[in-house]
Amino acid sequence: MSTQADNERIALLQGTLDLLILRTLVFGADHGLGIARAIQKQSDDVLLVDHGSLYPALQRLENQGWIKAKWGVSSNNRRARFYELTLSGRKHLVIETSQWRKLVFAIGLVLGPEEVEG
Amino acid sequence: MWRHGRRQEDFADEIRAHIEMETARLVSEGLSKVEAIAQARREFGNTTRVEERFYESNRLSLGLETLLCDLRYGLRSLRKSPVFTLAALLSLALGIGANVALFQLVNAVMLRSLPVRNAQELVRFTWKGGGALPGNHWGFPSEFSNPQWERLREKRDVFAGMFACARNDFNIAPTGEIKLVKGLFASGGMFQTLGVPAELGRVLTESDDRRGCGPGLAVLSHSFWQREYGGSRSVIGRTVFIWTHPVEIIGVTPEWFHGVEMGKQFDVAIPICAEPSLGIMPGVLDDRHTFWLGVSARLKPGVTAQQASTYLQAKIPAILEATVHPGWRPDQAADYLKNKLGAAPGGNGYSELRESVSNPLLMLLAIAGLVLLIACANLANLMLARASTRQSELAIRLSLGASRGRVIRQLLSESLLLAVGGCALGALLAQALTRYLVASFATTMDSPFLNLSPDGRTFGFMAALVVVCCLLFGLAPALRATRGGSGETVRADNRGQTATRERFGLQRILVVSQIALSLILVLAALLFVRSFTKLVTLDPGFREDGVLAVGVGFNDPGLNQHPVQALERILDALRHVPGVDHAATVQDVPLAGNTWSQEIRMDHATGWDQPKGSTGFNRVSNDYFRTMSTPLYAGRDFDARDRVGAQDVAIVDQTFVERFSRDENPLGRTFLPEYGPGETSHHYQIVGVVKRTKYASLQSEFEPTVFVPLTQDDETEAGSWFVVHTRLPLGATTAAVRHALEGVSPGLMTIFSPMPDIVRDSVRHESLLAKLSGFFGFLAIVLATVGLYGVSSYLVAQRRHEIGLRLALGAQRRTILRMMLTQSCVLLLAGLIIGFVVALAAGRLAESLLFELKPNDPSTIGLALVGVSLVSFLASLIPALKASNIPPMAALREE
Repeated sequence: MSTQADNERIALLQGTLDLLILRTLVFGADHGLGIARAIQKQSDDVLLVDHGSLYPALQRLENQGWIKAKWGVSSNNRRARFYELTLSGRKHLVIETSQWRKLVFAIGLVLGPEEVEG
Repeated sequence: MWRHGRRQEDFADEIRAHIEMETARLVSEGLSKVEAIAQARREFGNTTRVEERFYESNRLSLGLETLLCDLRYGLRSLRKSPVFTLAALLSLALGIGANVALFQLVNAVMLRSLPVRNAQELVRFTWKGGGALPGNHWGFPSEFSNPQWERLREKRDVFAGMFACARNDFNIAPTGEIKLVKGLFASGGMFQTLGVPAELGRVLTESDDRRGCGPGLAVLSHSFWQREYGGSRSVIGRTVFIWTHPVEIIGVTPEWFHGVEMGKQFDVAIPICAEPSLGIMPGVLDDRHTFWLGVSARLKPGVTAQQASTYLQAKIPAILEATVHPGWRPDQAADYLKNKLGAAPGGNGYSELRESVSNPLLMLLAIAGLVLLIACANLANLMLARASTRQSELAIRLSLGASRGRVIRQLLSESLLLAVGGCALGALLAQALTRYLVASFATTMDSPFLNLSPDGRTFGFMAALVVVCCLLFGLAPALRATRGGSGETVRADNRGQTATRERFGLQRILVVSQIALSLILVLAALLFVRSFTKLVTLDPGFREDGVLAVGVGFNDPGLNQHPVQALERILDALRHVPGVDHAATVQDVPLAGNTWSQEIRMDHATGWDQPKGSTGFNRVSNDYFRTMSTPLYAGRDFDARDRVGAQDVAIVDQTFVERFSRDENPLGRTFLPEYGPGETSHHYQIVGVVKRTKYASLQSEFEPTVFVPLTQDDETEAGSWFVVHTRLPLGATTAAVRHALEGVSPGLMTIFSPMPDIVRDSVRHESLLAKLSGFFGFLAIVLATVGLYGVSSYLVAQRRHEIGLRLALGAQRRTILRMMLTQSCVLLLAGLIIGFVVALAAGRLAESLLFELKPNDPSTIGLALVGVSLVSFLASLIPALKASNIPPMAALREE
């Protein structure tokens, strides 16, 4: 059963995690662990991906048709499920990215110039 | 999961692969295999939770899967307690069955449309009040005169078609005993406007309905054609006799068309123009003061009933102006001109039945609805008791991780099964009950024709009942049962604790509402039964026992020429029938429907009085009062002196004397009826006074009534009604009378109607209301008693340990008894007060259905209160006595 708290968590993550996953896959197909590591590395270890949210998020994106998946073999010869961006996923990423930039810019305006901590 | 073709195992595989890859990386960084696995797992978190989220994300399949599962579970748990299931199904079947049966009737009588194309386009012309239509209202619909119709039918700018019709009984026997069928006078455009084609031959058209058309042409209904002609296709061109005139058959209507009146199926339709040849209502085509037709129309596409009303309102003044009767008094003519005409939605046709049974039906539906509420309250109580015995089961489910919603859904699916099962049984029961109800609306002569086949509306009603019932008796107990939360409920094992007020709050509410509802229903039952009893035990001024009414039409040239002598001959023959001790003629048999009334002015010493409301008139022969056992209080009966040309005389009844005589001796005084146009005025001298009598119906007030002698009638009529009083059974007398009349002339048309049947028919709606409300009231009190008994027993059982303890500590048994009874009496009192208040407020609805009884009649309310209190008190006394007899040691040791 889905509870209230569960729904809120999805709502909080959906905008960011989904966008980051899609962005990571622009560089080519990857498996879940690879995606998580890539996000971590790209963000200078600021963003730690919760594995418990990663796979449901992947499944959600797959259900929406933005990514597709097939089983393959990883670089170190292990079986893994590889995800790849679909055409509609690419389009969605463009829209989402520009929206995200607008949002960040707008929030920046509202928050004003950065204060120096004293 | 089927939605995206990905199965749970595949998802689990992916997670396993993730952990393996992570493990491999950690091993390559130098950790031992065991440490690596542990760390990979730790980093990932709860894998089961993630898998669950995947499972739940496929909600669509989850819903279907668990619903089936819930239903199976419900079925299993119902099977485990067959007594509960049976009791629940039975009470639901009774409650739902009664509601469905009544709804089917309400649907058939009030809601269904005529089975014609685009019935919603039909409108019925109706007078909007504000004026009066002085004169005669004959038959049904009796709203328009023919002169009005002939002018109305020219105004059809907004109408695609217009028609007039009137129902009339047709005698189709060529000779001998009258055989009445349901005739229909139809204007030529009726079939076309309705869109009814002929199944055989052709239907009437505008050109068939022209003045001077002779006896006209007849169109038969499908059922009449099957019944009378065996469905023979050669029927076209043959003749059907209508009041002994041969009429040519030109067509048969399709099976689905029953006429324009709901509740009646027409047999033979003839054009309005045929009336003069048949002579059923002589002169009616030109009568401006005989209102016998109904007028309907089909709107042009895009025109609303509102627009049609406006149109008619604009056209009607000129028509009224042109149809004023020259003989009306100025005030009557002014009233006539004030009439307003409108168009009301007419898709459901005309219905006399609808006018007479709508109120009783809706009242019964409301009563049945309350009974169902009581049944639901009872069931809710049972479900509560069941839920509490299953508390540990539910607690385990909750603590194993089932969410509250899940458990509620499980409990509700059990209720749903019960409701659906009850509804299915109820629908079967409803069919029998509906047949009984339709039969109750039937008179001795005539049974209503209703389309009772189930339609979308019926199924919708049943579905709504199922959902409402299911929520009513299922939801609250399910919410209650799961409220505690897991940990709390596991601990709660009812041991050694006092039942808290809060714990049984819902049960208390249920018991209170049951008592309130049953008080309302018992009160309704008592009111209707008492009203009916008053009606049938009332003294109508005559005795119906042993009286047979015989209608005789002469249809014999020899008799027609001398009607007065003919009547004498028939009377003489009737008096010689074995067993008959009195016989008389009467123009309108009391309570049979037809009446004749007029306003009169009394001749007082001070001059002519002003009219004081209408007075019933009836024309009778001598011996009428003896035949009907009406006592003659003063003066004399009619006799040989009262001939045409002699002083006109009258016998009046007590009510007349009270209304008009101003304490003077009424004998010898004269009065003058306000005569209609073209009629000669008579000054009547009062020669006798009889007991007050009912005339139009038992239900209406006693009206002043005047009897005038048949022998002074200067208008010859080709027939009359006779009444005979017999000492023998009516069946035997009927046969003997038939034989005797054949002896007078073989050409006599006759019809027989036992007076007891007439009386019974006239009170059939009240009888039905009394019977059904009595039954429902009884059912209500039984259900409520069972409910109260159940809850009281349950409370005792719950407090068994506590009571044992109290007794062991020295409490008196009397104290325990008082404690338990106080508890029930508080509920009883609350229920009675609520029920009383609601009953008083709702009483107005019953007012029009009651005879000489107010809905707030104190003695009836008192009786209902005492009855419900007594039964409820007894129902709670037994458990309370049991409680006070609990052996304390045994109760304590059980724990």
